[in-house]
Amino acid sequence: METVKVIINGKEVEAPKGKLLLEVCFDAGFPIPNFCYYKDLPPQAACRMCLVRIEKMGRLQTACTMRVSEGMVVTTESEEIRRARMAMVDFILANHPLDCPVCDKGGECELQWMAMNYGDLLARFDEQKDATGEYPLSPFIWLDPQRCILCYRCIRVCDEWVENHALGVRGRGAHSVIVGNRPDGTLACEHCGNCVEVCPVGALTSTNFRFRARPWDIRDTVTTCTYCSDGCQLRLSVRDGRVVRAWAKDLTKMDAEFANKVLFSFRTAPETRHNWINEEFLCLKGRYGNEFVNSPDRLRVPLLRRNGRLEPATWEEALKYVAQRILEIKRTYGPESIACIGSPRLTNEDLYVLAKFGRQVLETPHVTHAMDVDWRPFFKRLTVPLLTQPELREQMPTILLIGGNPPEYNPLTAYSLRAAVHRHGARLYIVSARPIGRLQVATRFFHIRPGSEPAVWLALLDEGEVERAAEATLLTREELYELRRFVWEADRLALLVGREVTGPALEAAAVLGGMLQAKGERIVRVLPLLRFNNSLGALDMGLVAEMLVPEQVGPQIKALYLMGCDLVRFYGDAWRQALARAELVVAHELFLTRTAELAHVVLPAMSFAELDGTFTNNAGQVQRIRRALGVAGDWRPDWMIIDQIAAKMGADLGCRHSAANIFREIAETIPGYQGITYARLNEEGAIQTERPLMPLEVIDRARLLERLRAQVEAIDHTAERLQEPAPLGIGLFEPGTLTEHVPLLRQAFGWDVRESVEVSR
Amino acid sequence: MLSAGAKEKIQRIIARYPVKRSALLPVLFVVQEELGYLPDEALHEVARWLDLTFLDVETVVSFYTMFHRRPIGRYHIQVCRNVSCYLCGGDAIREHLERRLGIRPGETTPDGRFTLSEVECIGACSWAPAMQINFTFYHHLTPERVDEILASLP
Ligand code: SF4
Ligand code: SF4
Ligand code: SF4
Ligand code: FES
Repeated sequence: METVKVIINGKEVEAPKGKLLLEVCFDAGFPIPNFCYYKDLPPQAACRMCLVRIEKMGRLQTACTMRVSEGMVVTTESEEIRRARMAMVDFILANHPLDCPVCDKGGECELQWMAMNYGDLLARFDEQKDATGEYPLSPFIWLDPQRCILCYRCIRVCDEWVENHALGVRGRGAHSVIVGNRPDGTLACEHCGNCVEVCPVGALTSTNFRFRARPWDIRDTVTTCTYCSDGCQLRLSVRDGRVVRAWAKDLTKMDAEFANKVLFSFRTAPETRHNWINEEFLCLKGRYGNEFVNSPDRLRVPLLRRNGRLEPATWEEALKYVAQRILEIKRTYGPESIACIGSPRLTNEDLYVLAKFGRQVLETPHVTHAMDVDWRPFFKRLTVPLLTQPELREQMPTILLIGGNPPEYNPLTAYSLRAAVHRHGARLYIVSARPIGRLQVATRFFHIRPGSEPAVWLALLDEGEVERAAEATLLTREELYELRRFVWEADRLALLVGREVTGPALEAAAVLGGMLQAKGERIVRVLPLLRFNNSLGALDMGLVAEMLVPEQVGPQIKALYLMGCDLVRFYGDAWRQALARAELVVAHELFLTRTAELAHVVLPAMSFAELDGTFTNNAGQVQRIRRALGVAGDWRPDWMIIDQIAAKMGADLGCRHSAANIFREIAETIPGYQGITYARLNEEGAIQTERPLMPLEVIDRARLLERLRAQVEAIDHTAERLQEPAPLGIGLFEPGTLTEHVPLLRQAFGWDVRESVEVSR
Repeated sequence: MLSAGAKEKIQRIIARYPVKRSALLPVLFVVQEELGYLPDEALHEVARWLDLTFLDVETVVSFYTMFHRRPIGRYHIQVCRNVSCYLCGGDAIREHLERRLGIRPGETTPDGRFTLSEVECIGACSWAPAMQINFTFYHHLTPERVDEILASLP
């Protein structure tokens, strides 16, 4: 990279040619005040707060648009500049209501900070202010137009981060107003709230948070999102024992003084300032989906079935009952009559303890978790390392996505794909059975027949199969050759594998990287688009047995130990009868789910906001979740419940009363987790586990191709391409076990949520 | 909604630009000329032609005072109120117009003939005070001259 020398305030600084002056100054330790600048967004130059003096240039220049060139001599502080900035603040305040005490942003507002540091006590404008009221733009977002300083951050974020293009400016000059994309000015969008996150003032606010707390009376805890497998880091703000918001400011990306003195001074532990995974992005669920933890519907005490009804019981009663019944069943029908099924939302610590309990105490082979797609063959045959989000954003010039719908199911991945294109012009090829809205940045789109994804993998693996693949996919031979070239000629390639890729095709996806790397010097990384926040952790912790079919319950399986797993909802109504046939159903739950309703014992578990632990995301990165809430019910961590039941059965699972101890054991026993500790996680944020890779020689590729061909033959060759993109919200706006307990989501989407069954007292 | 002639004109304009969206302003002018103003449906239509969103079009339209979102009078009288005209008696011209037409800025005469607007600089400072009726300039105005102009309009 070509570098240039510039002199900033007399200090010689070396910087990459063409870098924005504002960023060079920032790195050199001369932060420059700004409003409209935002890292990685296209420059806007709307606020003129960043004025600096550059020698040989007539007027003061905006540092946020100026690119550095050799020999530039820059002054960032002087009387002239001070006066100019003061004038800009005065100008911005000309129509700003100076009522910070009743503004929701008060205390963490960038304008307050600028006014204090760069403004004047006396305003020079005495014109009447143009007072307007605030109003909602959507069920999630309110706008107070008078507070808007027209920095256009929200508009750019909506365009660049999420490609919703849902915001614009109506009018001009002092009368400009931010508007949404519906003719009446409201929003039709994916409701990610990123526009709120970046708004420097109190113009955009979130319905769930606005006027419910002051920044200085909340406590933030950095933790990991409990929805999709991308694994965003987020800050949970808690006030009076309730989660009031989630946000994702990366405190290393702004003026350190502002971060230290305003946003950061009393809120979080110092190790958690930088956001490694998601920069400052969150999606609808990560941002607005956390308030299920506050729900009055949470189970607060254990429930025990007596005379056919679930009734409150003490922990002692419940635990004793479970231990006793399990022992009886084990004695009567043998250990194989008991099955343990976990949820891919729980922590590694919970899942590890469940697996250990199943294997060592119950001695049953049936230890598994609820899976929507069976990813086991993929991880078994993995030949290249998994791809992390920062690598995807910064280091991969060629990217191929086959299947999946990242904007709906893996929103952070969608963000990173866009970032890769915007930041360094990555070439993004998408192969999909339906157009994917909100990934219009793609270089090429290959529209295939639904279900024909395996044929694409076949063609990529074996040139001789292009003909067959063309027939199956409806792509032309040229298009398939183009895809092959794209993959086989890339120096650095990212392969993204969607959920439509299954069976042998999934194995092919795991093997292709190894084949490419064997062909020559190159780097290939692969990202499986798993569904849940800890889908991969569940596999790693050994919950890998074949999933039961309901018919097994009764004849073979007599007891079901379910940890956070709503079988009826996940696998359908056939499980109702299955549960009725079981002699014992134990359910750890947050809510009285369809499955828990039918259990014999329901044990109230802690949510991710009440626990310490770890999740493993789809890149195999381990991240911490941290206890953000105190105790508001008589609930316990899942691992502790199991530990206590085991104790009653006379076994010691070695949990020694803390998640950290369990994790220590995980690090000793689970391949790839060696050397990872909570302390290191606190410091480094995310640590990628080293996955065992399968050497190519061991893989019977001829056999794999044969099975893949068979899979391709089985494709329905009459299906037509789907012309319409999947509707907005197909994944995001669907109610789930957790989201349906979030009042804001429930109201916004009009979910008709089944009322939970009355529990007798 | 549009005549065949206007549609053809629009196609020709679009063809002139390497990037479709560049044609936005000239296309909007053709549509407004044809319909007299720019209703929602017209903006939707323009957005479709140029591969833009309604929001893209609407925000551009709202930026320019020369586009009208509601029907206006046949003659749109725009009196300048900026410094030069103000110093040379622009105010008196506006007041005279208000009296003559019986409307205030922003209003339209009941017969639909005239709409009166106050605008910022129209680039005629050296011949102040000035006004513009539709796309024609009138300068060195006096109340008498204004009467003559109004009387001369067909
Ligand atoms: S919520 Fe997200 S999608 Fe909607 S306007 Fe804001 S940034 Fe755009
Ligand atoms: S609403 Fe906020 S982010 Fe958007 S332009 Fe106004 S001040 Fe900037
Ligand atoms: S993208 Fe995934 S991990 Fe990130 S906030 Fe959304 S659901 Fe959570
Ligand atoms: S930060 Fe440079 S003009 Fe706003």
